[in-house]
Amino acid sequence: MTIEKQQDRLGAQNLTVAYGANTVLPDMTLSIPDNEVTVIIGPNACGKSTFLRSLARLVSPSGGQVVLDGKNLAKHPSREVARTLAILPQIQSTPDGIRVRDLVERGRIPYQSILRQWSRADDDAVARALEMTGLSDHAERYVQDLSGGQRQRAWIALCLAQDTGILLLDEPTTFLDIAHQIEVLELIRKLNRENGRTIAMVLHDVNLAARYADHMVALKDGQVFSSGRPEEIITEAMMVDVFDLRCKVLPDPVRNTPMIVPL
Amino acid sequence: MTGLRKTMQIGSLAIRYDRAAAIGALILLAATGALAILALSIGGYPLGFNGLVAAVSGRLEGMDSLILLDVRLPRLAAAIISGLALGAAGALFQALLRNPLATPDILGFTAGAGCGAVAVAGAGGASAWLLTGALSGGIVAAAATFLFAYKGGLSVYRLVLVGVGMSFLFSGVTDYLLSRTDLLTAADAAKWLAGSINVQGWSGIAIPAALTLLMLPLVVWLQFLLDRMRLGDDMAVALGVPVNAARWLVALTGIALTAIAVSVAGPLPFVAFISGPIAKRFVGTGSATVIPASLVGAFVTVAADIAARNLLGFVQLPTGIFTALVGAPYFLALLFLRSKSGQI
Repeated sequence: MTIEKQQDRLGAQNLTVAYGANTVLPDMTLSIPDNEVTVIIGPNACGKSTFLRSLARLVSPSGGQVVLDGKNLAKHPSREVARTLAILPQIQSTPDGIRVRDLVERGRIPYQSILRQWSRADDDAVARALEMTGLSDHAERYVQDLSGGQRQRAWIALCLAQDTGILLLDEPTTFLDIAHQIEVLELIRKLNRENGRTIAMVLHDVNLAARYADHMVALKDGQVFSSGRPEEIITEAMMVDVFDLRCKVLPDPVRNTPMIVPL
Repeated sequence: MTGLRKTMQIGSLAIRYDRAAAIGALILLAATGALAILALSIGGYPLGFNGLVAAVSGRLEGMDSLILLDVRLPRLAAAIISGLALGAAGALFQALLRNPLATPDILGFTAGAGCGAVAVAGAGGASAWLLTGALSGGIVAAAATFLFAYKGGLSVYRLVLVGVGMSFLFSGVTDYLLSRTDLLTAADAAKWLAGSINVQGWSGIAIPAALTLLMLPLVVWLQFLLDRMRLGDDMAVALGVPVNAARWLVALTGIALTAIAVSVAGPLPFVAFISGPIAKRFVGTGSATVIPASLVGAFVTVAADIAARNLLGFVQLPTGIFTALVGAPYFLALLFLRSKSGQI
């Protein structure tokens, strides 16, 4: 099922994560294909978010390791990791009275020190990030005044300002209406297609996942159930085994990607 | 108010600052300076502004010189140091725990430091040891508060409740210690415990002053780190900020500053608590407020001390009475508003 390509930059080797007595990921070995959009799906509490967070050192493994560029993630200096991979956690706390530009500027933190708090490169990266997310005209607005989709784009812009080759997103479309979900997912695809960024994200909606993924991983009880192209992963059998949902799989009439219709 | 960040470039040094915040901080500095001049010139023995001018030009002699250089100046220095230290300590803990209620006075650290200082004084320790006693008491109180409040995580509500309990506990121990000393010492100590800036000359404050000044660069650095943690812990880790180290350093620095202040002026109530929120009004919510808060702390303490020295003629009141007069209503208002909106 899974063919391990050791040359991928980011992956987990026998990763175990436990919160106290509760083992969320018993033994996970999985790599994130370079320059592709990987989408992780699975039912609630299957460990998909924990897995993504471990890839970004927000959760420490109790066993095994996350490997980044051939080296244990925990052995990389944290600042260096922040220049290599960015993560947008699922829940963001937006400080009161912060403007879009200020938020995005915080993506440059890994490049700064107390004596060198700003540079020309920071200006350029922030301008690029605002432009890529279509927020250049909204830079001086308060984040709390933006629409849900714009706000999410502002947080993605912060990650882009980090100037990393790898971008991880934990349910970037939660709390958004369908139009804003598409807006955000189109942006994410564009970031992959235009800049070759490696992207891994967790999505709840199986149909949207199939539509935007190059590579998919289905998780069940903290273990990889299957991984591969969307058309290999989205099967009626998988939906029953992983989601306990009986459905039909049809080709999406627009993109021709697999689409589920519950029975 | 934020969003007008500018960069100041000096050689390879590049400092990022918020213009509105910088202006606010300068106003605070100027106000504290003006208040300091007032504190030096008025009192039971009025020197007036002319007296100060005479002092600066070196033409001050006799009684005037004695009053200014050996009485008022050390007392002003003590007020400034304890205010700076308490303001910074309060803002450090408020930023660390992301809650305006979480300050050393509310969480019982000042009571612990006061108890430690009394224990040392009661054991016949010299005034130089007061600081050590205050530091030990502060650390014990903080460790106990965090330990008892920790329950698979830290809820600020439980921290405040445990902190109030700790305050009572340490006050009780302090009372017991005082009951074993003679009446005169106990009366002196009681005044000190209400928050009293009653220093005799320079000898008592030289070490605390030096320590506070030495810690200022550390506080500036911690403010820089705390500003980088404002997007939450996940984001801070994601951006490579050394979150755990920063937390320990903030907590230890906050306790040390509290102990320094207590060793100088006793457990001045509410200065740590009110300085951060007032500073936020001046510099806006978009900026870290540890340094501005320390300026507010100094301002409030100097103002309270002017009132304590002058309101009743030659009777000297404890300075803490006046910081409490400002702080207690604000504390009640905050409790009321936050419990009403369910935010506590």
